[in-house]
Amino acid sequence: MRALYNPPTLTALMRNRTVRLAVTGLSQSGKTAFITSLVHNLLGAVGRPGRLPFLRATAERRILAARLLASARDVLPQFPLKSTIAALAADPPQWPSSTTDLRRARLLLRFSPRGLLGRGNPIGRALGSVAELTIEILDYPGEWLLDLPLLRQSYADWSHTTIGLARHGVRHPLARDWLDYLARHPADGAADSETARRAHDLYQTFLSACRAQEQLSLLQPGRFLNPGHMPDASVLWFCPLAFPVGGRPRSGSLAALMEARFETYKRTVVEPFFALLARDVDRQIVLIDILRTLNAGEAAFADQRLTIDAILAAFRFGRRSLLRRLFGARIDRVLFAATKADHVPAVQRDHLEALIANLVEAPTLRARQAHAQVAATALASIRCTQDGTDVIDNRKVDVVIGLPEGGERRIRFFPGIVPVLPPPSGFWGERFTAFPVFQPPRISDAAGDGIPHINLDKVLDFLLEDALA
Amino acid sequence: MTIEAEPERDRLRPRISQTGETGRLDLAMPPPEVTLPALQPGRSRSPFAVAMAGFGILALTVFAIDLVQFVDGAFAHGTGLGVATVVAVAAACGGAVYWLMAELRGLWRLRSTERLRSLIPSALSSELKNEVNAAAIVLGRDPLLGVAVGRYRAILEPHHSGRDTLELFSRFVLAPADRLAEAAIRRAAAQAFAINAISPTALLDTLLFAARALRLVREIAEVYGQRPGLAGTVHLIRRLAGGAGLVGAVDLAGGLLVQQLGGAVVERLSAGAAESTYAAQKMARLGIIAMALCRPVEFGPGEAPSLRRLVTGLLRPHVAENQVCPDQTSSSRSSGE
Repeated sequence: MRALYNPPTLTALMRNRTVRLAVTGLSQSGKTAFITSLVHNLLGAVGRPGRLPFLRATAERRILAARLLASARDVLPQFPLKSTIAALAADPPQWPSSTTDLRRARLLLRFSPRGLLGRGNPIGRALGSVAELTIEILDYPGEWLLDLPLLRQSYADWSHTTIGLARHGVRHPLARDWLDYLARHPADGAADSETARRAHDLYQTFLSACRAQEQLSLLQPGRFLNPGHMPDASVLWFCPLAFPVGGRPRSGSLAALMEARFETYKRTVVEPFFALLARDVDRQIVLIDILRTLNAGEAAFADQRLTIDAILAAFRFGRRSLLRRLFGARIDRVLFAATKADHVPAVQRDHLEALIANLVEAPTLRARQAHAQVAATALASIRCTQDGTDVIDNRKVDVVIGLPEGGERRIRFFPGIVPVLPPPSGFWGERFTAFPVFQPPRISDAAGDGIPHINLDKVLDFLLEDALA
Repeated sequence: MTIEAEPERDRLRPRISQTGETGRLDLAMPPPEVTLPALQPGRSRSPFAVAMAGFGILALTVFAIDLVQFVDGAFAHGTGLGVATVVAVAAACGGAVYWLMAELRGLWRLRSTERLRSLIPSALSSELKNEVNAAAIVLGRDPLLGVAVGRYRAILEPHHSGRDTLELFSRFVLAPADRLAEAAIRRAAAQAFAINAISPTALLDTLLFAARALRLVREIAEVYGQRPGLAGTVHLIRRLAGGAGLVGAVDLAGGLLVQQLGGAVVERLSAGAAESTYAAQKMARLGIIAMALCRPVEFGPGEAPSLRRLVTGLLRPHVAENQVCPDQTSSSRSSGE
């Protein structure tokens, strides 16, 4: 609190900074767990720096204090760190439930800079030698990200793409009821609110089935699956319709009604969310649950890849500079993380890292061309397993051991062989959907011991190293 | 490239099996280990080493027979003389064994370092972890690096890969060791400057410089936990000469030759102060080469100390030493001067 009343030191004037971190990830990719672990471990970094050995600032013991910031003026609710940690520490523990609305976490780190401004240097001591870094992180339902690509699409384009997808592959059997209904109610028929509502409901059921049964990702609009707080739910009552290519909806038709609602949805729901998400963002971490889709089959895997490419196309990358800050912020560091790395044994984590790096080749190239720094890693925000071995088909294999949710006895889990490249057609065998959910390890709800993780410190070092230097 | 090599039918599918263990995992950070685990080098023996060991046994046997005869002869002259001879022989043997053990220990440490360096590019994760662990044990015996090694061991977790282990070892143990080595180089460079400035003859200057350089190499080796004996020092010098492709070593040899043979020319070409600065610079370069040779892990990009940083730091060697282990303010390294 002293800093509030004392004039800022020269070090503070030169080095105080706010980093806005965009945590990007589809539903169930582990965003809330990531934010919880990040904040809790940083809060404990002063007393127990050993939890984050790869974060240089903690390894060098330059982080002097950490605390959560709560602002009454913030329009967004605060991230519920205490209750999330309490749920994880409870016996039996509970994973945080899916995020249903926007929340923000703000963390203040007081640290001693390196070099001339640091405590080890007489100049640094004369100038104050302490700076502050504020980290702002936004938590939101992952489904909402799926709406970002809509901003660049017209209703006709979106309808054409979505219906094309629904008529092929694993989506087709699930879309039958909805497509049949559309066949009975053509796009150029008279606008009828009840018909639109019914078509919307069938489409929503189709999207839910795609997610539950096929673990698909490209399910738009995201608010159909997780609406959050919507003052007027009627804005959601639309769905794609079969259009002739290049056609325009006739005035007064069902298609015109759907198009109007689609545009209203984009304007009143998607654009404000994107503005909040992407405004002044400096850093981005993209969390991808690659293991789940790898075991869910070829369609789920391809769909996830398509979704990530589409979402990332909405973000702007580039080197940080004063001019760019004046004319629109850019993301200058992007990290792609394959989550749930604790579900594979250590020997396969390198595979996981290589696979994620290969999967995001296109956005990586785009970010690098814009001179942003890009990296890929395997990550477990909360490590729930330990490594072990098992014998399968007379072969000794490395496995992970953990306590499954709802179980009493620990299990050995062999996750299959993680390929290092996006798998070709011959790779895909029988689907494995019984992916275990492990209980978190024993966690103390005091900030002292932190939360066990894999590579969270490397992630933080990549994202914050220059801000804490 | 797992995906092309293994047909789908042969590939292991995901599998879940039960264990007999119950309860949530406890992954709290372990306290730092107090007792360090024993090393298991497990290396194969070369035919040359076996032959040398055979010859060594022969020589020892002959020497032992001689000693027995010598003692026997002493007893033939009287019991008192015999007992005195036995005590003297026992003392000599004890001293020899002690020296031999020290030499072997020093050599083993050098080999351990070299093994780690050779393993790094291609080692399996577990091998790398074992070797880094062995290097940490060696460095942990140094009173000044003990705290750094303790910290390193405290943060090391089972899930860390071999590369992670190596990086943590580099950051937590080798970085402080580098600062100690740099401090030793600064001391030696300052002394080389002084030696050159006050030495009355070029020959004496050369001898003193060579002696100081030799001690610097040994100091640096000690910093990295190698404590070389006579055999270890010979081995180090051989490596240093072997690395004469490194510009610095060639420069050093050339510089020594010029001083030895053409002192008058050098005197004419350069003023005394400039020559002294040059001597200090040579000593620093030698020190950097020795660091590069003795360090268990090669320098990463930007890690190697630059000559400029070392020379500009000549005026503040005490800072570097104090920075090694902030928690351990009372201990200090004996400079041996």
